[in-house]
Amino acid sequence: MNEEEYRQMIKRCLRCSICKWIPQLQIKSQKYATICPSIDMFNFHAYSGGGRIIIALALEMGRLKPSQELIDIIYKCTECGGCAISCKFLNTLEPLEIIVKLREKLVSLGYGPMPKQQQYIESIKNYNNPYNEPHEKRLEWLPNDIKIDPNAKVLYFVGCTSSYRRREIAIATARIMNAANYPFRILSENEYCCGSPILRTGDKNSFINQLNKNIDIIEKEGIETVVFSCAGCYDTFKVDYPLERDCNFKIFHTTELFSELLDIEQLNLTKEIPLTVTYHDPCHLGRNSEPYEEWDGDALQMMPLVSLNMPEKPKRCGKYGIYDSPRDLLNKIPGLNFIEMERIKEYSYCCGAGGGVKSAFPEFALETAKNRIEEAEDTGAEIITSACPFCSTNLKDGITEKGSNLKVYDISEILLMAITSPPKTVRESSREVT
Amino acid sequence: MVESNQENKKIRGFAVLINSILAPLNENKRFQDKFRNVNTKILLNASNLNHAAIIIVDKGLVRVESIPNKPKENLKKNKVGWNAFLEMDTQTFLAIAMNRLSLFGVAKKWLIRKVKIHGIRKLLILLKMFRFLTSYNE
Amino acid sequence: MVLPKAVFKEFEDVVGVGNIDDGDVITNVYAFNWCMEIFNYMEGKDPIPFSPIPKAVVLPKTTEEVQQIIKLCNKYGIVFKAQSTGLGPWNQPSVDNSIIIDLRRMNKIVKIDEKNQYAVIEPYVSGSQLQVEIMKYGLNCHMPGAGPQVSPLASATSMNGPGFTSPSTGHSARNVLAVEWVLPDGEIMRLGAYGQKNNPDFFYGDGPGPSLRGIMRGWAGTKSGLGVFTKVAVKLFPYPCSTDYIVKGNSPNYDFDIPDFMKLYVMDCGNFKKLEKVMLRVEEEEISFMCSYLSGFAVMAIFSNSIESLMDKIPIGQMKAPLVVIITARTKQEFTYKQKVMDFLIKKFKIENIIGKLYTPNPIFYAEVLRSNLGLHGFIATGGFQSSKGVADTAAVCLRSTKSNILLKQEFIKKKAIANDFGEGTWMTSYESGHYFHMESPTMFDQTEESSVKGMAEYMEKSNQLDLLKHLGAPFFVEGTRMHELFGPHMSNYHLWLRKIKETFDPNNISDSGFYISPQNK
Repeated sequence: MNEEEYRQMIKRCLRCSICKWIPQLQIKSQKYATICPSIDMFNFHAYSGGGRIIIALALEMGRLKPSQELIDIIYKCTECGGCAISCKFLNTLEPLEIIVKLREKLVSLGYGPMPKQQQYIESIKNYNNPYNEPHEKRLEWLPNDIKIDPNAKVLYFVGCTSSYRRREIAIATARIMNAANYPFRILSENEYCCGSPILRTGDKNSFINQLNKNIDIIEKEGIETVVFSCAGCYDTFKVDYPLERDCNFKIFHTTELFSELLDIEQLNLTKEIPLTVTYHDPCHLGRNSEPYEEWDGDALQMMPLVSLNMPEKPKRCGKYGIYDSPRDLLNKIPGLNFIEMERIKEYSYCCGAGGGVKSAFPEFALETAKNRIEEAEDTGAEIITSACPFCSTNLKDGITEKGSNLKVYDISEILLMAITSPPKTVRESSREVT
Repeated sequence: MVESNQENKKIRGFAVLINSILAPLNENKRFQDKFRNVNTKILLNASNLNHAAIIIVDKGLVRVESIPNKPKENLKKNKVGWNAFLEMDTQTFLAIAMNRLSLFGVAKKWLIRKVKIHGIRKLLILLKMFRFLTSYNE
Repeated sequence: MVLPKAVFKEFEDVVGVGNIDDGDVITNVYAFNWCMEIFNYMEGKDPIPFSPIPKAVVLPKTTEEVQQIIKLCNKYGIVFKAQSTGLGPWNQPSVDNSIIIDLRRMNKIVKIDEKNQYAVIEPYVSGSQLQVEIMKYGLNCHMPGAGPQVSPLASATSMNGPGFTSPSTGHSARNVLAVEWVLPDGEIMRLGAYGQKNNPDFFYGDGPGPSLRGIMRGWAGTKSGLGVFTKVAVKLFPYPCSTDYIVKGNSPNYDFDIPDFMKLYVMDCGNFKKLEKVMLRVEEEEISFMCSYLSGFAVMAIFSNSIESLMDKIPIGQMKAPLVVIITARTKQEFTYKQKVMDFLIKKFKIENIIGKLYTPNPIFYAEVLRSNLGLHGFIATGGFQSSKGVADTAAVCLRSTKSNILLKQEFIKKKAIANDFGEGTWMTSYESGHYFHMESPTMFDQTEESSVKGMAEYMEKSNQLDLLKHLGAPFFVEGTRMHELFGPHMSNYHLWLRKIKETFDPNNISDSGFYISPQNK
């Protein structure tokens, strides 16, 4: 979105409150009708997608100046994009893009990111991960018996969270690829944070540094395909990187890869997994992972006040997010009973961790996770699964906080349980995870 | 879908709109039957936009091409090879397309040169085509 | 301007920490609303989308908290403006010395009485939330034309209330049963059966407890000018067809399993005279779930989710007087009967149903009909939209209003102030099977262009004048002192009585009278 588009768009909010709900036609119960974790938590209109558009307008009009109150409100948003999906059913506004641009503007003026976010940005600059962990420990997740092919053209980009905090996801992913005899390599000490945690705070310049580091190394290594088990890394490479620089490699999430491997029978699932499972769509794998399409059309002024785009400008409504692959996987696991929650796919409810919220506003992140856990509990499921280590982390924290009996597994862990000849089960793998 | 031209040239602007309006005709068997012997080229120029639409009717099928409408020479008969030419602004076009401007209204606009017409007999083909759009599929 | 610290603390003690805010950002956001620029211009102010900024915003959770807030407002002479989802300039304070009572935390469905067909709701229950819960009992509710995301309580107690399903679900004013009402002086009033001493209940609005529905909302509601409504019982209706409501695919081009017994008719009646006859007759037969006259342009819009996708429906736009009818049924027998009636009327009036012939809508249209989501399609052309007129009268008067408005609209179209719908932009529906009719003239403007905003404001003023000149009845937007004083003398001086009500119930003028009426000399 360029500056002119931004200035025009912020004048067009109708204050209809659609951004607070899941798409009206998808509402199935009163309890699970809302989409915006921010206003669900804080209640004042300013915390909604529409409310932040009004803040953007008020700033442009000089009615407001950047202040702690303002920054607080702008950053108490997971940038989940739910508001945008609901708004864009009929409208052409881009609430999420406005919020993203607003953060960039605030950062450029010296306001933001939030202090905790600045800390992890420093950590990324110094240690290539947001966890203040030594870069040298990035590979500690890797068990000795995992087969790595240093000449493979496929790279498994592990990501910071799986490398340092959710090692079981990295282990399960690697074991599945081994079980499928799918050769892959890793970047070892040359893997750096994808930059997503930085980008979401509005610090675009620091993000671009990470972007260049990563693309340089991947291209230098002659990688043709990059596979991600983290939805955040996946989305960043797929959607955000191409906006700044061309990426000459293919990008897949592991759920896509594993689904394909099952289809061509390179993977076989024979172990029964008699569990009732529900699936949480990560925002970064679902609605936000839809790439931007170039539009080479014309704006036609049909009559005064009425202009249209011919052909119609593509509207990112989450249609091309990854929803089917994870569901295919779950449906193919023998004995597994898969139940959907009410808020799914492009109108999935955020886990609460994204947009820098987990660091800056941990209570908000937890409350949102608890909301999602309750929705999972209401399905009768024993397990909530997802395809993002950051979602898993926050959902796990939410389960603990709530005292719920639910368990969280990444989809790769469940898949590993069902594979014929894994060298180790997840439980055994878990013992390797300290 | 309306057939794209043989060289798969991208159509632009106003032509895309005309294409989307006329597209259903290629699914209309009655139209294909009635127009199977018609072979004509009509230039429809939106004076307030940047591209004109060239509507080609050939053996019962319609296709639309586009051409920049500046410089004016682009639209000359000897350059495009049209059999009929119609030029107006888009607001007038919509009024005619939605039957909100009578023939008398069109004549008035023609007199004050807001509407330009050449090859009126062939232009009637365009009128007939639009009529098919509002007739019911059997 | 902020509340004095001590006063802020008193409000905070009522609602709890975190449920009141007087910061610049929060209060500025609440000062914004759709079409505020038009109303500002009408009052001689800068045409900006911001009203006076409230001093604070409070979020009560219970009726008792609302009561205490109002008492504090009376104590300190602070005007209050209550809102639920907050769509529209009538949610805005008219003075600086005000607070906004955002009823978002009052979001319970208190009761669903399946047998007696009513539901009791709090202010922040949305139309779609209510509908999905009552669908489980095979019931449906009336939803205002603004859409399913707004509050049925707000519509029932404080606004106008026509909806696309008005032929079968009436008008918001007609669907109100008992009410819990916090008066401007802080007293709690319980209307209808809820006002009974013994066994209070919500099933009836007009007794045995006091029936003050006329005073409470009158024709158009008081827009928070007469206190706060904390609970309302609304009438429910049998759900019109199968309650299987399965929306598939991805936004915005969802797919939908059209219920078995649901059928759409779109017929061009050719002229208003014939349209009136057909509409009256269709409604007389009491078969329609929805029955609306929409201008050709508007019919194109309800089938489209963008201005671009509207353009390939130009053949539909050629219709001069289109009537959109939807019949629904719960049994095959009922459906067969209704279809027979429609077939008979189509033959009798020599009209044709274009659906399935000239045009077949995407199945999602039917989902939007059932969820009353059609109103927001009015925004797709220019992004800005507001209605003028708003007649509630006979079909003849509604159509006369439509006709009389065409030339006026064309004048402003020529000035490039409003978008060109050939002057015809209209939505007309019946209430309760032709009991009476509603008509309004949706008008598209560009809220980002000052000339368009000013032009729209001038058009709306002139349109109101036309209603007086041509005796077309009081339009929707007779709100605020200026408008009441303009129209009142032509309508039995109702405004004097309205003022008496205001003065009696709100002697301190604490409930924001901006869109209601001010007391004398205040």
